[in-house]
Amino acid sequence: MKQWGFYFDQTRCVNCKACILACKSWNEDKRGDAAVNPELTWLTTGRYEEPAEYENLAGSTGEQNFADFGKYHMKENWRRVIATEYGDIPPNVDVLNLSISCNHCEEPVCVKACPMHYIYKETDFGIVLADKNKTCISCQRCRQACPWDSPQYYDDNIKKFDEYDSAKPRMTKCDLCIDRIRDGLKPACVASCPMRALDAGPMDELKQRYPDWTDKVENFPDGRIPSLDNNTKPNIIFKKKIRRV
Amino acid sequence: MKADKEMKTVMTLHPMHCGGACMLKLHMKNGRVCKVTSAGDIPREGSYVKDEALMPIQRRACLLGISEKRRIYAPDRLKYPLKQTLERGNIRGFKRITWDEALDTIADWYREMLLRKDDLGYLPIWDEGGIAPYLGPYLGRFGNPSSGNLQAATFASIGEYSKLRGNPPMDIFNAKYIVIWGNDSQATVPYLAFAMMKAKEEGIPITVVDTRYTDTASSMGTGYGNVPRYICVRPGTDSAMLSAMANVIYRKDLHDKDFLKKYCFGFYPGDSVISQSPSKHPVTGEPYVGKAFTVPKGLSFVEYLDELQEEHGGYDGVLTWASNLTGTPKDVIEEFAIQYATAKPAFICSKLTGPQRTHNGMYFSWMLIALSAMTGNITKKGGGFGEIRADDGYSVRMDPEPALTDLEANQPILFSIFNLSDVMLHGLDGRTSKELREDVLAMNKIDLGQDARLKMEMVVRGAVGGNPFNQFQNINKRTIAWDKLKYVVSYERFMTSTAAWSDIVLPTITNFEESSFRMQWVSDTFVVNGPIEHMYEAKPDRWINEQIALRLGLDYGRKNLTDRQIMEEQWSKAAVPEEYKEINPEVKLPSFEEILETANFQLPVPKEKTLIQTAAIKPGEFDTDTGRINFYSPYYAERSRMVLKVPRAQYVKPYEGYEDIIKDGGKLGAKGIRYTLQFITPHAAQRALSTYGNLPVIGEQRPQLVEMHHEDAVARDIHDGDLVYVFNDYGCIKLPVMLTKRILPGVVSIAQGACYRPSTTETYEAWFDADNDGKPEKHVGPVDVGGCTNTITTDLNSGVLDPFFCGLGLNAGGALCEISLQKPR
Repeated sequence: MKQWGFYFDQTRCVNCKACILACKSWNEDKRGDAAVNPELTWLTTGRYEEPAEYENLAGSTGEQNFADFGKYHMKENWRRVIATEYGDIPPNVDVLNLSISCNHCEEPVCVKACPMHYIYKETDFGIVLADKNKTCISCQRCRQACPWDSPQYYDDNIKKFDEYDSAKPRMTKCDLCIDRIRDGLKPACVASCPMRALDAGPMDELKQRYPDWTDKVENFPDGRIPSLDNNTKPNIIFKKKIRRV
Repeated sequence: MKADKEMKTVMTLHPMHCGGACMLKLHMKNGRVCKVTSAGDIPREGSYVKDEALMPIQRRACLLGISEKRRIYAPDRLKYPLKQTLERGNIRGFKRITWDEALDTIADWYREMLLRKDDLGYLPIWDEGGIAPYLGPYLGRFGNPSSGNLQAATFASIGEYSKLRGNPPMDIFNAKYIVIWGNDSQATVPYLAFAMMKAKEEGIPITVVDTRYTDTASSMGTGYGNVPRYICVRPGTDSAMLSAMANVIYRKDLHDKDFLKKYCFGFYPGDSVISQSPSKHPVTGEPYVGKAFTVPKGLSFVEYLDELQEEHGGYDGVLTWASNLTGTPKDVIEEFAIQYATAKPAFICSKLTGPQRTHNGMYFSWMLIALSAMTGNITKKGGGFGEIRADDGYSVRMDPEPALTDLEANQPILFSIFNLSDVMLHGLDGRTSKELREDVLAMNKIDLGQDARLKMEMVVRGAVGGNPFNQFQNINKRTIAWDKLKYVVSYERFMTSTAAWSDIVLPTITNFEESSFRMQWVSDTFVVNGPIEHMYEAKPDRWINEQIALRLGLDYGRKNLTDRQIMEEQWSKAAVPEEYKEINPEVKLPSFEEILETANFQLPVPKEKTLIQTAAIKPGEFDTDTGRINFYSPYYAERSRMVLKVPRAQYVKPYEGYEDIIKDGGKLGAKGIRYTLQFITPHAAQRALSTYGNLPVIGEQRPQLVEMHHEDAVARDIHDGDLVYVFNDYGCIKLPVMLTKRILPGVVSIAQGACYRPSTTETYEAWFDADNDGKPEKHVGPVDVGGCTNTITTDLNSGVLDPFFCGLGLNAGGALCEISLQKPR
């Protein structure tokens, strides 16, 4: 096995969020509420369940429409872009951007935290995956354990769902577009980046391609988990932006 | 898990009006778009070189393109013709009607307007994409919100913007110093941002000038010598900074005297020239060649600089003045001027930017041209006149699509789009009735008579006509004005504000439901491959027009040609231009099948061979009245149509802005409230103008909000995420606030393009002049909860109010407002 991971060029990222939307576009059918939303069945059956007619929606307010229409896309943020501001008043300011998804750690703390063995480290690429054949009980221990918020739920308000509700949000997470990389393609986020700030591949290959890599940037929480006396060893390397204020 | 093998891919252009030109890769199954990726989606093995290349460049899409599937299949797509049964703006009143009923009704309305034509001499229809042009003289807009002020500046000084668009993107690699002025290209032109990043990585120094610390400022700025990486200028004061810089360059003797003498007019006092211009007087059509021009006493540029020194107390006083206005330290302005003048060549990249979309925006663009002329950069590789063009300048020659009719289109009677509401209310657009009468007589040969006024009774807006209800200033006045209209027809895909304020709304298809060739701003050949069937009852615009024309007995339509037949015919005669063969003799046009498959064919130009249009023009033969590069415009002086009265490159105070804050701590409005904050309305990455604002998948990542500095928030007891009221005399918006360090205290920012949505519970007392007595009066209307910036902008023209060329611009930034946590009265 060659361990795969990400490269992120912090000097290039302009926080455009194309990576987030590319992830959602590609992985929409893997989202947590796909099963409870008939609209997506056409992906597999070829039938497109037309959503509510305009007439029925016309009476609702804008906010209501926004929520209604929100049923149809992926809410989980498998990838996130964080912009951290420094300084005080322009021009004395600077911003560091950070685009991260799951870092597919060497020693994933989420795997250890899960009481249901729902999460495992796959062996071809070292991808940390959620096992669809097992059960997630929505206990959120994986998310609490992860320093980067990688485990995601389509609705964070899990308490409002009944225990046996089929719509109860189950954990989903970045799978490094394993379907794409098996086909020799780049993950969707990497392929989309308009600034070419993202890359993914076997870690040794990435380190060779980007010789000035570093494993730390300022606004990236590292993988040390004090309570567990452990380092999860995230598989992500960076080109660091030096902040100027 | 493996990728779905049944999925087929289709490459297509993402045709959008944003300024970008991006490729989408549609992953199709069962005739539907399942997933969307972009030009970077190629096999990983060995892709690194292609990914990083600029020639050819992968035209990767932004978050909007990637999310297109959610727009095509959005539940709120308009699916069938709708008719309003209640008052305009009330979307509950729309009822489904048949196509026949809709088209018959519209044809009847056209017939009624044809009868009005017998009285008026023209059709009182404002037509944007309908068939009125083939029925008689009609009403059309002039003024360009994206670039009008820039066009006013170029028309005065170097010629029409449509002919001179700045140096191409690859030319920034020839610069010794790059200045990005007010340009956040990641939000509008993704490929340009990547080219700029590459220039930075090659080690070319960059300074970014902007009111906000954009991500362009953050990621591109490097600084140059003692010039910082980022210079923050208050809205509407950019031209004051440029004037002070011009003074530094002149006093330090850094200007290019030979160039000024050979190429320019109006720099030196008493400048005289016999014109060798190839152009003609826009109104009379008289050639300029042989005419003598002299700059009047006191109106040369040097006299302006003397005036500045006299008024502000010498060289240092001018720097102090500019520093107080812009908020930039004196030494930074001075150093910036020196470095810009001595780094030869220096490239200023401004691209239809915000500083130009202000009340004095024309003078900003003109001052950029003035500085470029003083330093001789204007005709140089790696220099230019302040704008960067989108393309490399060479395109495949191809016939246009066959015309839909042999009928000749009538010349419209033009009105200022920025005074749309006044035209609806009183028939005047800022011009006097005498000026209007003269203009229409000269252009349309129609005499509107004494007390000339325009009558607008019907509006027909095709899908190409934008979202004018929403996208022009002063919405509250427009809701009053709109009531005057008898009929409004919209062709639309979604229930935009304009559609909501229409009587009949016709559903149109998306660009994924028809195919054609496009150029899309850049010089590539693109194919829009529309792989999906027409959805619901939606139709193409041309089909709608064809059906109405049929009812009115006009010979109009496509005559059963398919998209593919038309494209095949076009491609059979396509050719690479001879000039381009000198750049790349090997170039070969792809076959028809190949171009359909790749959907993109580029004619890239290396930096050594960039096309510099200004360099090809002989001194004295520019397309201006004098034939020279003008610091002073005789045509503008003679016509006297400048909104701010000044026919010279210089700083001119806008109707309101930071000077009011310096002087009185703000401006007391007609309502009796003092407005102390300047607002700006930049283009945002979350929308292309008002398109995509309805998609939650994007709104979640980039919500509509007002950006404000912590200092201003503390003073108003406002916290991050609070719902606040942003208001002035014209209206009130309620939206969430985001506190940030990226914006100057005293300035707030709301992204333009969100759709106006009247609150059902909260009202606001606005004050503006709708009865045309020159005085504002009280109007009570709803608070806008949609976050539309035009709720608080005022409908003033800017640039030049002259329909004989395009030089009328949008005034959307730098004006004043106030923000509070409590609802203002």
